[in-house]
Amino acid sequence: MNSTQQPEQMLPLTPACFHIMLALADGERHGYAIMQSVEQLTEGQMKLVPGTLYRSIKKLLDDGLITEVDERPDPELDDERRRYYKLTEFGQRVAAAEVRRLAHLVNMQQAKKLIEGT
Amino acid sequence: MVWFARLYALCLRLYPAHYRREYGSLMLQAARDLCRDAYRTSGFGGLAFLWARILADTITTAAAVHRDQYQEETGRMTNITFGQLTDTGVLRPINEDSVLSRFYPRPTGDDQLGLFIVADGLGGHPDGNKASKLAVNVISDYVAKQLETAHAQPLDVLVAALQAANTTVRVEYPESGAAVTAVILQGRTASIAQVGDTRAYLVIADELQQLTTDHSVVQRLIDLGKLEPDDPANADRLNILYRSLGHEEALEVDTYTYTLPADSRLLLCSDGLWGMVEAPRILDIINSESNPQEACDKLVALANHRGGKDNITAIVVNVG
Repeated sequence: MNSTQQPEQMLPLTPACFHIMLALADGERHGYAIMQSVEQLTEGQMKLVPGTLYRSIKKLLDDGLITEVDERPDPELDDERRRYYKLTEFGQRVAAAEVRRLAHLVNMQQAKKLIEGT
Repeated sequence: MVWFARLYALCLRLYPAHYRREYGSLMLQAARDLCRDAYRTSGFGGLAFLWARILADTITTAAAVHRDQYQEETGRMTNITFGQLTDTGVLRPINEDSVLSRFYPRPTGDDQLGLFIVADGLGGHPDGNKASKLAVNVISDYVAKQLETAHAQPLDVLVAALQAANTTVRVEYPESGAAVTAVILQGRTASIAQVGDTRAYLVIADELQQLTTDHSVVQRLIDLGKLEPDDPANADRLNILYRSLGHEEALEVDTYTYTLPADSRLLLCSDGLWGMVEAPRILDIINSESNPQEACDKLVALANHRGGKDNITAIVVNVG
């Protein structure tokens, strides 16, 4: 299948994938740091566990949205080597497109009605 | 803490072997991190809650990873390429055929979906070109909308799309109509809806198989034994369609579903091709030309070379 990939073609992202990408927006992270970031970003609403975390990471890697950086210890944790990930340039465009899509949804009159309960 | 690591290592055995090799140690590391945090903040109670979540998550994601693997192995890697060409031909003043090939993006994990349509406006009626164009547009718009519905069955969608086109063409161009062949290709499954004398063929392993039946008087006479199937004079017989889009209020559509093997090819065409080029030559050209666009170009060129008595349209799809 040949097509120059448009970011919009990757949407919608699953919530887990989207939050992982959000966590990487600030820079490289390893798996544990991603789980902590996501929990912080969602104020405790989304607590990733290893199964969902790595299945989502695999999908993001397969789709070219993130890439592995290297394996190195995290000085703030322990001596264990950890695999770091970062967003690709395409991944950044996809994440931005998803944010725009969600923002558009939230701004729709119908959505506002739901929130305001009219 | 070691106990929990051992327990989780056991859980990991639910995942496929290659996935375990790739991600097993990473998942174990993540689980240990979470256990350490949970114990630190909330003691054994926290650990118990964490474990409930990890177990539930393991069961659902292991099943999902197995399913992902199955999809990858069976159809998600299908590579579909296509070519299309429509040509007025030599004798006709305008082109009353219409053609469309389009891919619809799907959520990742689902097969890409291709829609291919050949429509041939009724000759000898006014506005045949407009009727065929309208039919193609209505069908493609309808399919695009319906695909947003989860679990839409391609064949049902196609039939409904042709019905919608039938109604629209009857209203807009009541004197006219069109023959239509429309195919939805998803992974290796082809869903075909057809009315009139536009055809779909399948090429597998050096064999050209006509998948559709013409709704024409000539074909009926052949079926009844009144005409020879390979009589070259058939091509010159005035081909009246007893079924076409835009004619009756209730449109009867012929439908087919096929699972296409790897390296097979689909040909959709109007009678301007099959009426001018006999099946063995069509097969030769398709077999000799692996590039689907080149195959279309050659087929149309040959039909024109033979006289180009009608508008000629071909779509060739390679199923990888």
